[in-house]
Amino acid sequence: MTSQSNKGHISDLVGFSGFYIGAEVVATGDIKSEEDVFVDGSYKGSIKTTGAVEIGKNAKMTGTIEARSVVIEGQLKGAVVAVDSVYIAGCGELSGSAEAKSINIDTGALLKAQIDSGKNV
Amino acid sequence: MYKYVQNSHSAAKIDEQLTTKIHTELAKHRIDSQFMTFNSEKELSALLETLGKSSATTIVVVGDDYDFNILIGTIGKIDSDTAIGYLPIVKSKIAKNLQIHSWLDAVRALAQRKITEKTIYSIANRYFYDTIYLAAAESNDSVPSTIKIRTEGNLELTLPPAKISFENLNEDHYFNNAPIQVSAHEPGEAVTKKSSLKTKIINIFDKKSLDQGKLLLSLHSKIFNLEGADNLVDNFGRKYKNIVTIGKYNKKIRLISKKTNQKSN
Repeated sequence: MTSQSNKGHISDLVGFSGFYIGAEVVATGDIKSEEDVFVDGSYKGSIKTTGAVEIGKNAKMTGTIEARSVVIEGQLKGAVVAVDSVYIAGCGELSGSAEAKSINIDTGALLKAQIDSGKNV
Repeated sequence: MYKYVQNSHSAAKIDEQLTTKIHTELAKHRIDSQFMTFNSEKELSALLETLGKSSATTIVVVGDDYDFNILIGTIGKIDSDTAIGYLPIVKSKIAKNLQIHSWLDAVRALAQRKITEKTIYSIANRYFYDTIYLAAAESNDSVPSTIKIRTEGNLELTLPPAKISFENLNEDHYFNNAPIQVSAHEPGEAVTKKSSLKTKIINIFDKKSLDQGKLLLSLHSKIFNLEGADNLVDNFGRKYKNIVTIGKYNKKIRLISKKTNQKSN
């Protein structure tokens, strides 16, 4: 596991037209999508997408994520499974588990999780 | 048989000179008939029911985008085989999308009868063409403090008071399974109670304010249930009851346009 920063966050994209749940929104339920998903609010549920998922700085999520890649900048309690990569930023918190081909964790990230990297998912 | 309908309260005013010019052009193409006026959506609805029984093959709205959307709102009264035409009197975003750039262009398009099909979706008991906006009519204690949106799946979203829009993505075939996009933005400044409803609507749905305000939510689905719609008004001045369903019904309409990939009729 390295502490490289992950460039190209969903939130940096101009004209992001995927799934967006802002900081002021409280959400429950399941999200099934073929697009990128950006959660920055309070969310309890599961996300299953063939795209990328970003848990924003303001986010507090409880649930599971299955995606191509996952970026965690807020709080996540649950299981994360990514085909390619999981990146946990310095301001991110994960309690649960993460499984992906590659997992990067920045200095400062809070972890209470089982990490499984390097295997094909 | 072509039947023309015109909103007597339309913002697109036609003077006698222009009316004569339009009729002259329509007559050249043998598609002229009297313009029938309506004063309200209710009257239009009754008019369309009558026209529906008279085997009109084409119903043409003469006016502006607002008038066109009023017709779409009451489209349930029109038989699916009937074509819808649009004769814009002023600059029109909808006409531009149909590749019609002037009233003269529209007359030629009506004569050629090239048809484009489009699927439209319902909001409560009406339909909307491309985008419909909802916002609080007044800022007072009766405005619900939160709005709940439920999607066709079991996703439930709770938002603070916001300006909400529902957009028909039907022309983008990628979204066939989730053809309606909901977006919510922070509302603008509150409108005073003393303003007339028309002024309030104009202020709420001012073009600049529609695009401003922080984005709160954006996602696609097939059907939405919106709870907390009591004090919401749309950009056509219609009020809604507490729970509104968007996308429950869909209807394929046949539009006269000059677009390519169209079939003649």
